[in-house]
Amino acid sequence: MVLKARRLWWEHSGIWAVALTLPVLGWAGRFFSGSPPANPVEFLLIQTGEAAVYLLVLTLLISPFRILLPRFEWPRRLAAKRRLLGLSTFAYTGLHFLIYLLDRLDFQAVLEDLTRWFLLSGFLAFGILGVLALTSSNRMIKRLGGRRWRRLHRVVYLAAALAFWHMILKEKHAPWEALVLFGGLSLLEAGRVLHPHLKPRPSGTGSSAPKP
Amino acid sequence: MTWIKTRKRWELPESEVTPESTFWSRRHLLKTATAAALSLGSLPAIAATAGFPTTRNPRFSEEFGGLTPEKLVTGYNNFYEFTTDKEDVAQLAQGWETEPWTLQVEGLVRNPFQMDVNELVREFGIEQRIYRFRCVEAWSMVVPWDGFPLAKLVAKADPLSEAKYLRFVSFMDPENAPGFRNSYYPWPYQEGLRLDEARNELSLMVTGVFGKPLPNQNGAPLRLMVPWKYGFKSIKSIVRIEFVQEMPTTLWSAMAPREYGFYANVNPEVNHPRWSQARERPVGTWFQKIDTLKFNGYEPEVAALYEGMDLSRWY
Repeated sequence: MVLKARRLWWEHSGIWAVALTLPVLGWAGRFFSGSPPANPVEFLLIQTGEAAVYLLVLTLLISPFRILLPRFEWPRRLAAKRRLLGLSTFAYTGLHFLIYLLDRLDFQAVLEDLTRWFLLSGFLAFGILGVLALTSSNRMIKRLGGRRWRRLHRVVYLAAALAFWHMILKEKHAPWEALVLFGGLSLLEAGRVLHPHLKPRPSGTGSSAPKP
Repeated sequence: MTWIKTRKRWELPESEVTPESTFWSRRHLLKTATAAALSLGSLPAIAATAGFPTTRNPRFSEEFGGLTPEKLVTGYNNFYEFTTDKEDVAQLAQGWETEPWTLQVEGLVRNPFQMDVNELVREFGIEQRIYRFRCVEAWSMVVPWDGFPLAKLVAKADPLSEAKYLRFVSFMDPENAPGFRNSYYPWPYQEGLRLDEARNELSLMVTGVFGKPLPNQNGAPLRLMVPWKYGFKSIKSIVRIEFVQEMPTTLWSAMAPREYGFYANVNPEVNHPRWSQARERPVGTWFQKIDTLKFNGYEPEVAALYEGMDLSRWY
């Protein structure tokens, strides 16, 4: 569907570019402040991980909102930003992964990490998001076709489950944050699935695949 | 490799260290502004002030890779009684009153006693020792602590032959320490040592750090320091020591028995179920992990305590 309506202030790309780089600026600020993080690697791992998880959940919330709030316009407008949000999720995940690799710098240690669910779940989620990022260009959507593209991109829910698990295993204490984030998402997803107005999409011309 | 001394980026020369007066005057400026707003302007009372200045015990004066900057030692703390955020503890613990503070020693002993911490220091005297400090989260520090050997306290209490373990109990003050609201944990914090571990010459009762009374965030006014064990064994702000016959339950072994055992000896060969313990990151460094040493480098002093024990079973 094409919205011919006037662009709202929050739809401008500039605003999104700034908003999505704000976390990085915030961390940089911390490093140049009077009290830089005592354990910079731990700080960056936690921060990039959290940014990635929040972005992932935000990206995934758009569809349930669109279906559960059909009378509102903003979820539909927000849906136009879903690819940008998804790619940003991948960017922060990549940063997270890169810092992890720099911290190991040892192939043997990385292999050993793969034997632990905590680290393996992270690896797998990163891999999935990578595939999704690579197949998110207009050309790839066209090449795969809307239906196949949508089917492939449903693995994002697997990535979300892995990210949730990764976050739970990270905690030495109560994983409240993960439970609230992913619990909320699961509730909305359940609502979306059980929603009486939800009809199966006509095959081929799915609305969830962005228009090339 | 560990013994070749190369200057790490966190090994600041003394000349680059912010003078304490500058540090505190910055702090003070912030604090007086806040205090004026809130009209509660008292500086934190620091309890155990007796015994300073201290002299360094030459037998524990090796600086290993170099002392961790004081600002990091007093600004990066695991103290869940205040918050789980290590860099917020210092601020949240500010203004917490630890004066006066009485330690109670009881249980299977001939001489149970209650004593003010300053009295204890006056009786036993304190000295400075540099110890390596290794957290179970795989970060580490090198810290000059001030304190007295736990063995002196054990001798004073004079345990009965049935006494096999020591139970340490920390404070409980939900009104002044916001972390107690987190009822997920079975407060108060508890730890334990075997009697022979407590008598080991390395076991230190600490009342100071960097030659000054312990700041609140480091476990004022009296904490334990057992450098061959993971940091969580070194219980902070102790109010009671009980001599018991059975192995005491500790907070972490009650919470997650498969991850945190009673012994918790630093051991690169026994991994945490979720992460490796083979290496550690000195606090303040970036990508310069170092190898973790068995018993945190104190093998000669403590290995005999665990002779014949399967350390992967008794983790």
